[in-house]
This record gives sequence, C-alpha cells and structure tokens, in this order.
Amino acid sequence: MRPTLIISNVDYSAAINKYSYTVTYERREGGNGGTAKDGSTILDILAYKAVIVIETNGLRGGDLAALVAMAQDDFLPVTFTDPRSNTTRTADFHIDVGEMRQAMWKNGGIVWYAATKITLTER
Amino acid sequence: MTNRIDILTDQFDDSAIVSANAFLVQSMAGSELEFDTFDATLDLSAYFPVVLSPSDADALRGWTDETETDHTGILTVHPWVRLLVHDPAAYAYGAAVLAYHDDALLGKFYMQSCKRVSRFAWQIEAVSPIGLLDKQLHYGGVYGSGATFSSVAASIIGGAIPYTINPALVNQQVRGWLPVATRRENLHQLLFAMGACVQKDDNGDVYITYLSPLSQTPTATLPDRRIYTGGSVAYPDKATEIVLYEHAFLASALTAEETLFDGQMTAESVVSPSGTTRTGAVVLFDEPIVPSSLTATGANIAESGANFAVLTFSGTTAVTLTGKPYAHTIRRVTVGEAADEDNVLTFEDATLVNVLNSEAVINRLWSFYGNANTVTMDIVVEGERAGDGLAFSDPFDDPAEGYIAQLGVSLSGIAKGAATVVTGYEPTTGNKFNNCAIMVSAGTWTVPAGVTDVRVVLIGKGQDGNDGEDGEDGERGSSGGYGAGGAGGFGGAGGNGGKIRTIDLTVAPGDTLTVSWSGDNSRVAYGGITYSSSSGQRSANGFTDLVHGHTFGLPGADGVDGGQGNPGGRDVSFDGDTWTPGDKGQDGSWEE
Repeated sequence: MRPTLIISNVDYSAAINKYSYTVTYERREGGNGGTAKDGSTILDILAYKAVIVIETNGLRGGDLAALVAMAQDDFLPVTFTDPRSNTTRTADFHIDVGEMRQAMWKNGGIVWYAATKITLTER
Repeated sequence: MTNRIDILTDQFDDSAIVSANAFLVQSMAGSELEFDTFDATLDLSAYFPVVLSPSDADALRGWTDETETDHTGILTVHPWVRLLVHDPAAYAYGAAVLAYHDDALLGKFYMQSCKRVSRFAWQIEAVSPIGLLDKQLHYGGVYGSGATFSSVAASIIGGAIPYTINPALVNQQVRGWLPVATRRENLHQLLFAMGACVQKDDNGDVYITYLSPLSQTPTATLPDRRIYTGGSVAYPDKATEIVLYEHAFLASALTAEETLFDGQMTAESVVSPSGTTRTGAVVLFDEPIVPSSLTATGANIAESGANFAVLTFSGTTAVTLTGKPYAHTIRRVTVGEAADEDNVLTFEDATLVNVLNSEAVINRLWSFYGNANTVTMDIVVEGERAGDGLAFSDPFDDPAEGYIAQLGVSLSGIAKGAATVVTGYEPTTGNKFNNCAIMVSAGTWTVPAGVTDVRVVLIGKGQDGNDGEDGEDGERGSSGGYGAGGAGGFGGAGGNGGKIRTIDLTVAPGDTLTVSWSGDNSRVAYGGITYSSSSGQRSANGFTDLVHGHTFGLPGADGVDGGQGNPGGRDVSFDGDTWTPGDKGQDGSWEE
C-alpha cells in the first residue's frame, strides 16, 4: 500500500518511491536533564517527534522547484502515514531537500530530475 | 500535556509555551514577606488553512497527470497562514494567571506586565496574590481588647485578595499598633508578631498558617534520584544576640493633648479610608492618636482612626486639629549574649510585638538567626512548594531536614527547581501567653493543666499622694453681709505608681505559687525562691494586662483644687464623690 504524504494540502503520495518511505522518531529533550545524586540520569523529555525520509520519483523541474520553495518555509502541515500510531496523522514539519541531480531532457525542453532525497522533520 | 498556562479564559499548552519560570518563596522567620513571581514567553499565534476559490482548485489535484508542463505556479501555494489568536491587550494588570505542571497547579499569579518580544511571542510577568497587596494602602490602627488574628487580617487585606486562615490562628489575640502602610507591609507585621506565614491552598489562593515544627510533623523524604549533583551548604554568620522590643499602646488620661495640625487648608476631593469620596482633606498621624480625643476647629471630623482624621470643609480655611496620643511603652527583651565580635540583630519597629507574644517571637528569631543553615541544590519538583518541610541528604550525603525557603522553578518536560532549604530552624508561633490571672491579695495560685510557662508581674503599692495646700481665708464680713468665702487650696500631686517586676517561670501543671505582701511590696514564692516587687522599677505608664485591657501601677492623679468656701462657693467632684463648700463663718460681734 502506498504511504500517504500530503504537504500543505498537496498530495505527494504518488510522487514518492513507496519503497523508500522511512519514519524514525527522535527524542527531544529540554534543558532540565542531568545527573542525580544517586548516579541515575534525569531525563527531561519533551516529546518524541517523527522524522520522515523519502525519495521522490523522477520530478519535473517545476515540481522540484516547488518543493525547494516549500523547504524555505519554517514549518508546513504534513499528513503522513505514522507507523507508531498506525494511522494517518497531521503535524507541522520542516522540509529539507537533498542533492538534486538532472536526469534527462524531454521534448519541449522540460527538465527532469532523478530521485531526490527529502527529509521532513516534525516540529 | 506537561505544562499549561491559563490567562483569563485563554489556555496555552506546551506547543505555545516558549519558556516559563516561577520563583516561589517562603519567609522563614517572618522578617520578610516576599511574594512569588512568574514569567513566561508565549506564542499567541496559530496556523489556519486558506480557503481556495474554485478557480484555484487545480492546486489540490494529484500527480497522475504527467502531461502537465509546469507546476511551479501551483505547488508554491502556501495554504496555511499564521495569525494571532489571543489578544494580549486583554492581559491587563491584575488578570489571573494559573500555571500548571503535570496537571498540578504550580501557582496562581496576577499579571503585572505583558510585552511583545517577537512577531508572535509575548512575555508576561506576574506575581502571587501578596504582590497585589503591595500597591494598596492600609490605614492601620490600634488593636486592643477583642482584636483577634482574623479581625486584624480582615482589616489589613480588606477584600483585596481571597484568603483563608488556619483555624489555630483565627482567635489568637492581637495587641498593638499598625501605622499607615501598604497592605503587604502591615500583613508582614501581623505575620511577624504571630509567627504566621503565607502559603497557598489547592486553588492557589492565600492560606495564612504557620510552619509546623519539623520535630512535631512528619516530613516528606526527597529521594536522591530527584536531587541533582552539585549544591552547597552555607553556614551564615550566626547572631550572637537578638534584641526585641515589646510595645504597648494605652489610651491614658495622663497624656497631654497635642496640636496635630494648625494652619490653612484647601479642600480637595479625597477618598477616605472607608472608601467614601469627600471634600476636604485627610490628615495622617506619625504616632497613634486616641480617636475619641480628636477635636477640630474650622472643619468637621467625618471619619477618624488612630492614624488619620478625615476633615470636611470647603474652600481654603484655617484648621486646627488636636488630640491625645496613645501612651506608648516599650520593653526590651533579649536572647543570647553579645561577644566581643558580636552580631546583634535588633527588631524595634514591630509594633504588634507585645508582652503576650514576645517570647515566641524572640525564640523564633533566635532559632533562625542563631542556628539555621541553608542548603542549596537543584531538585526535580513534583509538587513541592516553598514552605514545605523536607528530609533529604545534603550535597555531601549528610542527612538533613528543613524547610524550602526558595524554589526557582524552570518548567520543561520536568520541572527543575533551584531550592534553598533552611535547616536547623524550629519555628514558634502565636502568643506565648494567652491568659491572665490577677491576684490582689495574699493566697495561692495553682498552675492549670497544660501550662508550662508563666510570667509573673509583681506590682507593689503606689506611693501616697501629697497633701493639698490649705485654702485661703474668707473675706471679712461687714454690716452689709458676709464676706466672700476663701479660694480653695491647690490639690496635692499624685503619688508614683508601685514598683513593677517581671519574672518568667518554668512550671508544671498542679504546681502552686504563693502570693504574699511585705510592706509595700508584693511577693511570689515558687521553687524555694521568693521574688519581690521591691527590686522592680516604677513606670509612668504602669503595666497593661493586654488580655483584659487593664492597667496597673500607674502614678496617682493629682488632687483637684479645693472649692471656694461659702458664701459663693461651688461643689467639687472627684472620682465620683462630691464635696460641698463649708458653711459661712460665724457671725462676728461688734462693740461701740
């Protein structure tokens, strides 16, 4: 089943390689952590947040440019398939676009790009 | 949800809290009345979807149409906008701010300031309820027989903040004077004198209570896993002597009347201490004046108290205000002995400290300033509040027990508190003496159940008054009738009051104290020792029994002048008795 990935209400689900969809969770800690007198660790856990890494299918230049433009925003609402809850969840994410490589030219002068790595980090 | 801040009806959760810190304090020996503070930076914005018009609907379609030649204009649509969703203008001075951590109330505060620190973030600063009392005036008063802790507290707080009082304090007797000061300053005076403190109830409102001695109250144990590494133990310079002054204020007939104001006044619209708007002026006194003794010329006295008179008049007029001050007596009590390199602490302006409570006050001060140490350490706060008693191991693993005096809390996933804990302090509270038995003749007094300390005040016989002067002879009569009666003589000066001596005794219930007289002196015998008023001192203001409001050992009043003899004489009254002039003299004889 194809994972869901909707960024700012635009459905990218079909634009990603469904076998490259990975989700990890990173622990966010505040500044109140430390070491207790008995030697134990005092954890100041604020939240566990999702980090989604995908590879796109081949993208036309205009589509990739749109993604890059979104990556310039602080945070965008993303609806995604969340393995932890095994549901589709919406949260704010920051988007980082990886290395972009031209793949081929098509008739009409449209530029195509090869698979591009996109990292979405939950706010 | 770990943290939550409520301001009025607005709620902010962790996603909107940029930072939040509270500083919680508990005055230990009552020598300060600080208030808690709270600051937070909040994001007042939220994201909202933009509703696209039908002509833009293509922007939402999927990626199945690969014949599309250019998506640039479509995919760069950003359909979410960030807008302010709270109105910071509503966060006015005094607005309630509630801070929660893990669904437990950390504190209830009141807004002091709110300022913008970035496009969508505002920083708020708030204080606990006591902070509000710092901006309001209390007109004080003299508190005598019948004044209780609850009645004086009600007068001071005046409905400015909600509060409750520990039932053990409610009916404690309060005696003394409070000047015109802020409500916080006068509440501090009350708490200091009675050994009370301000804590918070479960709603965050003020709860006036006292610190229970740790030796009598089970204390929570703080496990090592909630204490961060580091910290220190401080051993402050200990006081070598505490000097405390007892105060008594007496409405005495012997006090001379004083002119309190004499000059021109221009009427203004003023709000009186009772909250009434009047035209005239409010005169404040530096020392307490007996309200019933106040008289004014050129103005009416609309309201008065021990510290003020509200005069009503119009325009600019000459006003004279007179009254009799309360007789103010002080007694110096000490504990400890100052050495060469002494550290003497003196408390002389606590005007609610009196003979009833001075023992408890000075013992508390001595315990704090003479014995207490402080431990500073960071802890994981799980419901602890300033004033709580804690048992813990100090940073050097020595067992310790004390009260949290300060707690600087940083809210995050966990609440970290920079704690200052006072150890070695045993607070005392309330009045040391609550009852008074008066013996006016020889006999015995048996110590009642539950009594372990008594203060015996021996008062000797006052000196006799001086004789009055003889009256003048009457005028010689004539054939026209009797001569006028002679003028009465000047009254004699009153005698000095009896000697007064105070002895504190440690007793046991059922013990007997034997009271007797020897000459002009009263005596008490206890434990094989006889004490006498003969080594006491005379006082112009005598000794006031604050429980009943009686004063003993005062100097005698001067005698009144004698009346003129008859014919033409007038009655003379004194102390309920009336004397009439003598008959006219015997008819004289006359010879050619």
